[in-house]
Amino acid sequence: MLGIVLKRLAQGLLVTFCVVFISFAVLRSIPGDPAKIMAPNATVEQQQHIREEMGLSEPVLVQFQMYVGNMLHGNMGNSYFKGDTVVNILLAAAPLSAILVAFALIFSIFVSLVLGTVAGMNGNSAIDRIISSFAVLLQSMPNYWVGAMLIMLLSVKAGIFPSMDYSGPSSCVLPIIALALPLTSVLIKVVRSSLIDSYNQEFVKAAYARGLSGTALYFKYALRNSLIPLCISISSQLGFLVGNIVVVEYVFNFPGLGYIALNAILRRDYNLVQAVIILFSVFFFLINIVVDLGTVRLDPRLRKAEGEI
Amino acid sequence: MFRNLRVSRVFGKMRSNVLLTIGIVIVAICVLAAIFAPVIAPDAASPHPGSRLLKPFENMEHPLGTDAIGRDILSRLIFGVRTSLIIGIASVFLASLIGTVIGILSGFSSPGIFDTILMRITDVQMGFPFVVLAMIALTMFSPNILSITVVLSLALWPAYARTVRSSVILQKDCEYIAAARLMGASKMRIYTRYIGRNLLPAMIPLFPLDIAGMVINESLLSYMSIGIKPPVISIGNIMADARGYIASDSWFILIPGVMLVVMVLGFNFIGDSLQTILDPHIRKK
Repeated sequence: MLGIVLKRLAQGLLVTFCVVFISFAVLRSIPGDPAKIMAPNATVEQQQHIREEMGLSEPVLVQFQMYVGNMLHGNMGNSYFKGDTVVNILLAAAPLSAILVAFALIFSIFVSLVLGTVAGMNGNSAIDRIISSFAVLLQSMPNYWVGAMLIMLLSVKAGIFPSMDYSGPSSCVLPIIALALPLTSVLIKVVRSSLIDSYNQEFVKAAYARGLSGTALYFKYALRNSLIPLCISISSQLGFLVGNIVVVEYVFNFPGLGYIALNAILRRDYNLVQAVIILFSVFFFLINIVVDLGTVRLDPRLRKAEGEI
Repeated sequence: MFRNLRVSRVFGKMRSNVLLTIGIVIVAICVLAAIFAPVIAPDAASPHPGSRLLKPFENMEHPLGTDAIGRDILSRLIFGVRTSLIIGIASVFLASLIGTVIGILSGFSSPGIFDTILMRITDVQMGFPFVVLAMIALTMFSPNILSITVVLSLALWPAYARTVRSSVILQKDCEYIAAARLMGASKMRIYTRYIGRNLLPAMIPLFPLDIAGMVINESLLSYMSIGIKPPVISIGNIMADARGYIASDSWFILIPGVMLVVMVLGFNFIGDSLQTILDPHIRKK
């Protein structure tokens, strides 16, 4: 197990380094001089001063070297719009986004396990059709629109939740739902079809023949086998989930990482954008490691391949 | 219990044909509307200052109402569908082309340095959240139909490359490939006639499903005002116009959303049914 963790960490570090380098190079080549955008009314000398202070007049590779060096010392520069260090801004925003993602994941997994099980166990009954159609319908709804509909129904009409901006934990509820629904729809289908497959597998049939039934058969054999495709599809959906944070936070004016990233890009706030991208990709590969490890734990064949049994 | 499941698959196939028909009808209507947009909806751009924010079904001159400066929403939606379809279809076409070529090259050279490098590139590409990629790319290049198509296919091609690669790796040691080689078939012929043909059942259902996804992604970018810019009409920027009216005139954001959902559903129905019909695993039973 430790071997897998180290291998994945090494791969992840390499991929993150590439992401950092590519995004660094791309961001530096965005047209528009940040010195002019930040201080449109400044004199030429003042703008030159800003450029030197940010190291913009150095070659890109030198800038990159300086950047990585500072980053390893915990210094990711200052945000030129917020007047604060990038690290502080991220420390304030990251927990909010982490809450959204964590609860959205929990919500999706729970709801999809329940609905997917009900649909899969009653293959092609009326209830299965209702759940399956519901999943396709959910999948076809863009989540910003779902967000807007939630605002309309639950906060404007019913007045249960606050609609925009962040004002305490109740502000997280609607964004969590909007973030979770597209993922849920995918996972419901996965749980349903993999449960149907599981019940057709020889080892489940054998257990059935041995007299196991009901809950024991479901939890010990069928469900356990179905968790593997569930883990795999969660890991393949993570990119969308992380991207959707930006969208959902934009819809709800929710001051998390995505909202900060969008504004930072529109204002050419290099240091901030760069840091958010690094954070996104680190976060992405960390969850991936967890999901990979979960998959290996669940599937004896994989454990064997990794030399564990 | 097990008998039941087998019966259920037959039922599943019948149902998928109904959904396939519904999907085809929806998509056909959208495509026709998109092609003939200038004929059936000539009134998309001209504002009628006298009739701002007309509710739907109130005035039959504007069946779906008018927006904040009095433009006919139905006409704008028809043009929005046109933009969505052009971008959706073009980006999936581009992504599948790039993905297939890279997937075949990668699969045939696997295991090897070339394959490893290509797969790490797709790793990086997939590790990069699409929306962030789009935000950066669209601040670099001015957003228009072409650049958005390129950005969307940039995010999609790794998925095709991976599907194709794994299928090629499974196939390349099969006996029928060896047989073809012994008969003197050229590499090109093996790629297209043997491997390529066997890729189709897995890939054909992906096209409508991905078009649906890309249509959503395009509208999303336009909604966040980093996508299609006016005067070009997109369903996303119609909804962005409605953003300030959620509380007062909620139908304004409801209608374009429903239009988008119906169109996307059409594509999803087609994709899901094709998946059921083309999957030999299910067909066998």
